[in-house]
Amino acid sequence: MADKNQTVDETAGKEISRRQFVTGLGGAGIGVILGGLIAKGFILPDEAVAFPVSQGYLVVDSKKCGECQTCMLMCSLAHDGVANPSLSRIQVEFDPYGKFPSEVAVNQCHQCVYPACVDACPTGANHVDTKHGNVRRIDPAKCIGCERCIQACPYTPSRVQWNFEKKHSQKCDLCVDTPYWNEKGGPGGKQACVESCPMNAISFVSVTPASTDYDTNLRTMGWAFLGMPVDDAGTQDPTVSGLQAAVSQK
Amino acid sequence: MAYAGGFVGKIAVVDLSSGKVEVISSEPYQSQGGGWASGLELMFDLSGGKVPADGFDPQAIFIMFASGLSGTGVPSASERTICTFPGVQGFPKPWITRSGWGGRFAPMMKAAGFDAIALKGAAAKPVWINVVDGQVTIESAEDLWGLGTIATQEEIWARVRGDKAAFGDWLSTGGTRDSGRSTLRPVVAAIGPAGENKVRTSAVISDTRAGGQGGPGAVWGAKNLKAVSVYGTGGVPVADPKALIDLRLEMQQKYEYPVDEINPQPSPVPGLSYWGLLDRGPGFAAMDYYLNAKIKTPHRPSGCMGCYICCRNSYADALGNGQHCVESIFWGSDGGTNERRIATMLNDLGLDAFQYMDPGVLIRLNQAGIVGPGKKIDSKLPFDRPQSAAWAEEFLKAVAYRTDIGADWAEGPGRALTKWGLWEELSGNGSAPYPYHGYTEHYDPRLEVDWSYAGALGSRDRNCHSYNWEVHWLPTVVAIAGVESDVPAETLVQYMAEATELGDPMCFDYSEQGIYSDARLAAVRWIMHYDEYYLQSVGFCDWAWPHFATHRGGDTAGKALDQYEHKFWTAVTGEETDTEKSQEKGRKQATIERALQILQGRTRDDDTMAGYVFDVPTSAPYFLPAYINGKWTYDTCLNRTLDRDKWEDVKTRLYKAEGWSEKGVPTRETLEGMGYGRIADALAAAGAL
Repeated sequence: MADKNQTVDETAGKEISRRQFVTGLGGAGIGVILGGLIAKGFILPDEAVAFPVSQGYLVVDSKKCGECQTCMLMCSLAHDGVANPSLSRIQVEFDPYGKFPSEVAVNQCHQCVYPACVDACPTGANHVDTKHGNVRRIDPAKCIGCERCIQACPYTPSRVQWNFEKKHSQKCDLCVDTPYWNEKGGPGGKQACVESCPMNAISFVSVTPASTDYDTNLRTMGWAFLGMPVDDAGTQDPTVSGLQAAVSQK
Repeated sequence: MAYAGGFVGKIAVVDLSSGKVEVISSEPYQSQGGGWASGLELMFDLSGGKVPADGFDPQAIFIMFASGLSGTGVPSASERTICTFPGVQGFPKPWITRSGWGGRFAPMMKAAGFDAIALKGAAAKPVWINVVDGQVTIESAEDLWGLGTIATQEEIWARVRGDKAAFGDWLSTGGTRDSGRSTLRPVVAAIGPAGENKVRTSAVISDTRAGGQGGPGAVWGAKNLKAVSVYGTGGVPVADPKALIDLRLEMQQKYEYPVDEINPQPSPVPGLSYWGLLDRGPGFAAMDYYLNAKIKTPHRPSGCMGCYICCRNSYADALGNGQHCVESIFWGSDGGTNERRIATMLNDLGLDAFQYMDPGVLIRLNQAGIVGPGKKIDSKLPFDRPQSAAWAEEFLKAVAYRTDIGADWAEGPGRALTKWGLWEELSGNGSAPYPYHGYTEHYDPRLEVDWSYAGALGSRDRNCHSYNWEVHWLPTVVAIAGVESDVPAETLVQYMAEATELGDPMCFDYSEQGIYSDARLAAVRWIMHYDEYYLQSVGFCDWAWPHFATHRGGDTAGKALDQYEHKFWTAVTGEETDTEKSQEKGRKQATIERALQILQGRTRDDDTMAGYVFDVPTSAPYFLPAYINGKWTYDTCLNRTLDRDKWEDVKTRLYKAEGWSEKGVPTRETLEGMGYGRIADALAAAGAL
């Protein structure tokens, strides 16, 4: 299988100040993140040191998702050795009678530049793992089960979840710790959801996405050949746009 | 035996008459894989061997059994729910039969703690069953009765989730910190008006997927059962997760359609891809796929849980979501929208699409002046617009609500035509193409004897699509295109001989002599056993499995001898298996099925086919591999019928090979050799041994 991962950003990993963090985001990112923070009632102190950015992120194309939820099964298998969508770090929910493309929601952890879940943890269980590309991870041994990280996540559903089997919080670690998978994970490695998605609708990137780009367009001309829309909104028939005719003649 | 993985260990037995729920162990039934075979064993034990003649009997037991692979992520084997029940559709006798659907029901049933749910008795008033993380309750469905399947599912989703969390947010199923949590909506299987009105061709619908053959919807209707909802947060144990993930990724690399490549298999037919047709690309099961992307409405592929193909579609207008095969080529062609609208209507009414794919019989009867306004068979249906969407809509409603000629057609074509005094004539001359058990002809029974021999010995339309793709559709597509096949006949039969481990290419000789040969019967039995075990019990989807050849080109072209079925079963359950063992499990399944049907009164004479199969020669090209004049070719198979005497001889030889008597009854020796001594005793007590 082709390597679906992209090259790790060499500049990632250094600690940045809150000012650098804020200025580096751009307007949309600030709006989303601060919006989430305000909603949760957090205030960042000026002197606080923010967190080193993750060296890896998952981006998805919810319009390319095939609704099979294979990613959920592979995630829980790789991490927990059991096939259980409720334990999957990526959550795909869909309405089988809904209208494309809004009938599907693909919810993955954003490895946030400002990880509210990390900031909320009183014990350091939820932390930035500098040994593994600054991935936001949870150390189960330190988790006391207060669920503050779950509450702090600005997204719905919370990308931090309660592992009700093992009694601790958990979240996407980009497959850094997958005892039931033979591949090396984390930034620079592979991710079970990326590798197993039959539609190539999940991708690993090493550059921090804009807040609106965690759900992005991963559709290609091959997708157009299948007769499916490749425009960003997913509203245009490729035969109408001429894309399919173009690729058919190649 | 209990496996190291695959099963969650429990079966819920719900008595709708008393309202009591009993939970029993699934361990005694796991060795047959789950699904159809395990359902038959459970059926025998729950019924004490007294299976009613049809599913309308209040004592009829209806079993939904997941497989050991359900919900595990095994590609195109994680989704199937397979039902075992006394049918109502088969004509003249329905026999105990099976039906099933994909989607998400079986995985969620296991997540809720059950490998199977068995339904006994009948409720006094309409009910639905609510299963949440091991808890089973029976709820009133009086306010749901009359709703279509879509509204029923949507209403139950909301009732189970309540107003605690929107769809997509985490919901605790128990209300405590350590209760299970899910972002997903429940999975509901429901019947529509057709099932409520006990239409014999009615389906159970779940997430747009339909279990139709056998009339399961009518069986639920007779039980006053509107729906079953399952919701759970548990996991499925897997014996060797590392091996499972590695196998999944390896198989995808070999067989997955490369969605980001342009025209991966150039085709001589504009808009038609060998890859999509024969190796199955995303969305390929919506038949419009083949028609040069006729679908103008934006859409995405829609896969059942764990699928690696995602063969269906979801559309911007939601019409036809999840439509599959014949559902998508129903009447009313207008470029797609009407077909999809009718497909959704079939789904909502809860009718089995396959039985309504061909309106030809009624149209011909109208043209002959027999059916129509003021005719002998009076009907107000718009016969002046045959095959229009309007005709389809009015006809389907008439069947579902038993109005107009739908009142008779709801009993199935065989019973309706018998009532009208036309069955013998029309089934004899082929105008009513229902070759065995009253089911619509799927592929030509005079030629594709894998379907017809095994179908006649079974209880319904056979369904073994992936096998049929290779032997029939491959040569048909290239014949249409007017080009040489990428896999010539001689090569294909060699691949299949090796993949099946039968060894002899003559096993796949469909010539006039070949279809009666010992080699051909060996292959018929191989396919029957593969079908019974790996497809209908273990739950591999027959639109994806097995693999005999690939058409991708490059390094992966050619034969496919991977036998991933064995490897996946071992990874999930921990049990080593191979072709010989799996074939024996298939034989065991065929035998217990046969034994239960013998207890229902089945005899050798019931293993029969309609008159046209023997009397009316084929008149159109129908391509199959054949060994003729010392050479392999894809033959047109023109002017062919089955021979009655040879068919009787085939039956005798198949019975003997299966370990059944000349009367078609499994022998005591056979049954005891399979560990079914208790079934032999039941047959003896019934005077059948």
